[in-house]
Amino acid sequence: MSQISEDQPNNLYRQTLSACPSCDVVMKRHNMTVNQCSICPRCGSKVEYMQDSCPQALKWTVIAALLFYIPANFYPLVSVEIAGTIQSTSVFNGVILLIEQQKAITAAIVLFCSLIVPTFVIATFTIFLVVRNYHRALGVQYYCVRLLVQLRHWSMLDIYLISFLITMFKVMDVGVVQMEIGIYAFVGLTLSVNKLFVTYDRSALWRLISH
Amino acid sequence: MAVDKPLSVNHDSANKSMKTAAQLGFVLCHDCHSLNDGGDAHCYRCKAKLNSRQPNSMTIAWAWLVTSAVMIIPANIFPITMINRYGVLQPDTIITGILYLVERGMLPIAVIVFIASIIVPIVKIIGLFYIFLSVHLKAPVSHRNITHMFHFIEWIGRWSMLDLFVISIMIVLMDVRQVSFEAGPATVAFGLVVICTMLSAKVFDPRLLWDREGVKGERLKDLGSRASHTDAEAQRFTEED
Ligand SMILES: [Zn+2]
Ligand SMILES: [Zn+2]
Repeated sequence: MSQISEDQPNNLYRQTLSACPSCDVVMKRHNMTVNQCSICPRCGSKVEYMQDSCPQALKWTVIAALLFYIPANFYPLVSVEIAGTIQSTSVFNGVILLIEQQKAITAAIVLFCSLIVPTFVIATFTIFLVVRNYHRALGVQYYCVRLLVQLRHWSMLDIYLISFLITMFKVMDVGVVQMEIGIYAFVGLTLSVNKLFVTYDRSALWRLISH
Repeated sequence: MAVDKPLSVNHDSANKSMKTAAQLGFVLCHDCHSLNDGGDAHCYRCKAKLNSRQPNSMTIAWAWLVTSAVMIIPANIFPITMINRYGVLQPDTIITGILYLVERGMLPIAVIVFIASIIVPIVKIIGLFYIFLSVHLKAPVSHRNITHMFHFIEWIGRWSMLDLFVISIMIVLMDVRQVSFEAGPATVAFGLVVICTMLSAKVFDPRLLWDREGVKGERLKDLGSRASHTDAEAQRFTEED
């Protein structure tokens, strides 16, 4: 980790030592290469996974996520024909119907994990990219990274997609299922957000912060 | 995944010569994982507030866990879906819903829903109970295994949300004239079980588990009040092995 540059000489330990977040043991820092993973000698937890996280790829992944965002969330994902009636569903529709059925808390949970958090994630990545590009507002960059680290567990697009497939199998013997444009966008959105979370994890984002 | 060769797995070195950050007077930043001086209030790199351990970790973690353990009862007793067929309301709990899937010959889906809605929440709650208890009871258990178990629970937690999403999609698609599909009262309880167990795992600080082991006999040095160590101390530590 050579990026830490503004250290005073009496803080050398910052470059040479690190600690395990799971068991607190202090260990020496290693110069890791891409695709190497450091494992804590005491508790066996993964400490850091070095990945090829270049800012250029980040930019294109965020742009892809932005393009997919609207059709994925507001366009119909599939339509099903049951007994002559055609029903189509979007992420947003499901939430609206839950509210209509007096299940506001359930609606809030589904809305939070499948729409609000992914929206925040994409917005935060966008802000981070823009601010980083101009080498400005370090505070904003820190704040974005901290927010993204917190949000990663709560973004559940991947689970939503799997749920979607399960539902399709469930209704297949009742009606005729027709894929709509939204589902392709949704797959794209899920893949790009997952790519963002996997490749740009905590340590990668801290390395990307520019002064 | 490509070659992820572990860099520093040498189990032999897992002995008494290992020192924790707390023992050496360091604090690891919770946000950016950089090492800080124990006396500092804020991280030198990201300016986040520094705590050697998450404050009140056990109390808050227990509170969320007990809440989810209570909520899992209504989640399983009350109907999670209600199918309205020509005005006749047929309520289904999580279990009867799964049995219905088996009846209709959708065994793979039944297994997935069974794992996500029944096995995972129960494993999570029992697992966290076990982990938290072993922090309190200082039981002679492998902390390594418990840490692995904790990371597994952390990772699997979100997948229980599956059934709730399935229901939210189902109610839209099955909204036909004679047949409609409604979310039951158990959805609320079930959603809260998932959220509460996730929050419980989030506030739990696994380092508390290791603190019990690392300092047998030797008292943990007064955290936070040590600002005196210097570069020399770090240097000495680095040269030790
Ligand atoms: Zn460790
Ligand atoms: Zn920090």
